[in-house]
Amino acid sequence: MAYIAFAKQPGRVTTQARWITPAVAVLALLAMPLSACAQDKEPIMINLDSCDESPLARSRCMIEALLDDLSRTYLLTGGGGISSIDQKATWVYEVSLSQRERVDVITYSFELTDEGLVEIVGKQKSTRSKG
Amino acid sequence: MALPLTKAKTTKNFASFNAELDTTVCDRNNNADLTITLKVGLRQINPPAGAATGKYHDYGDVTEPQRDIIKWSTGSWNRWKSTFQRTAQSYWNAKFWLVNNHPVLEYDDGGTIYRHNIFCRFRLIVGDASPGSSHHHIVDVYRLAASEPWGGSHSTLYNSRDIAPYENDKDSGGSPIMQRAHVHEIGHLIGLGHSHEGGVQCPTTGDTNAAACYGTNDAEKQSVMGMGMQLRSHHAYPWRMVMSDISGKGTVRKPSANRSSAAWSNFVAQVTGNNPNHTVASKASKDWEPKMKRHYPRTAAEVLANAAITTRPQRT
Repeated sequence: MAYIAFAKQPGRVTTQARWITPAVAVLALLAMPLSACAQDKEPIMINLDSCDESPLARSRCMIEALLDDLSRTYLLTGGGGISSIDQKATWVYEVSLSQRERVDVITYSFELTDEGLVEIVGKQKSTRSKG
Repeated sequence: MALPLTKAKTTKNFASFNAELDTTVCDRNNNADLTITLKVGLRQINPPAGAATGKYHDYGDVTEPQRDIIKWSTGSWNRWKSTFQRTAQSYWNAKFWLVNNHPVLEYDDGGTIYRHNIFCRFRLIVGDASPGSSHHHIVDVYRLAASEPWGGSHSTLYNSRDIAPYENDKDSGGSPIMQRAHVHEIGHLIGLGHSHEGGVQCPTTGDTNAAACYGTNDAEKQSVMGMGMQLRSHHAYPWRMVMSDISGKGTVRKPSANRSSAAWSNFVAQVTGNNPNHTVASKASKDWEPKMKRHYPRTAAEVLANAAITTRPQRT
């Protein structure tokens, strides 16, 4: 399994920039003041040259990566959603998703590539039974 | 225990429910009734100190997220209890018939001996749990605020929406798989496991609440013991188990034991004593074979012919 959370890109990039064309991005930015984020004075932007540039950047890269993976692979439509995302080790995050009778737990392991990217290198599923 | 030779009511109390076999109703057209009675005591969970609103943790576990709850009113509580009782009982009652393949429950009607099958009934008795009250199971219930889309629950802790249809998943065609959670939970309380329990992805030696245990294909997911509302003949297991116990006839195993090759191997080893000269003919026992259609009592000739009488016969 190999998944790149953030492509290293020059300048200011949004978290979604990998999936939208520049033209759509411009339209999206223009529309943002009218969106749910309208109270923000400026669109929220991030500036990352490397996932390893700070502890927060590392965390964000890993969390964005696991959220993207979950969106593609965790297909159950019921339940209470994500109840927690916990850092278990420097490069290990554990996500908990509430379901009736149980909590689905997915543990992601990451590595930092030479290019400053974050890669999912492991994914383990487990269950916390309830009741 | 042996069955009485004459028509009678035979009762036996199990840890999880009571059972009564009534053969007094047997005649040429009517089978014996086997009623499983489940007594559930319900307890309100309310915000503390008499407050109208409050918080409650998913699953009643303080390490889990909190949901907004509201205090039960007398009317809302009584309506909830009534709906719970009525819908769960009607879901499980009168859905199965067990075909009698043993020389028992044979009674005379008009000079002809009939072998009677079993009509499976279910009775749910619901009351408020209080000190000194007697129930097989106690279930706590919290009332979700209207703003809350979901709250964590399980077999002995419900939220108020667990009696309403809820989309647990979608099938491979994109159609929602809906379930009223309480009928699934009643299934657990009478001894049923999850739909894929004992299967490759849900071994009985592991956590049988794991996601895969609720189904690895559409059919398993749509089962009431998966994520849906569909009843299957193997859900008659509790009644079959009771009949095997009360009559002393037949071998009945949990559906998970039929599904699991490991459990099956253990069962065969137990039965045969690992003697290679002994064989077990069928993985799924035909004893007290469950049907989801009425099977009428049979005459000796019909039994001999292995006939299934599924339309009302003209008996003279």
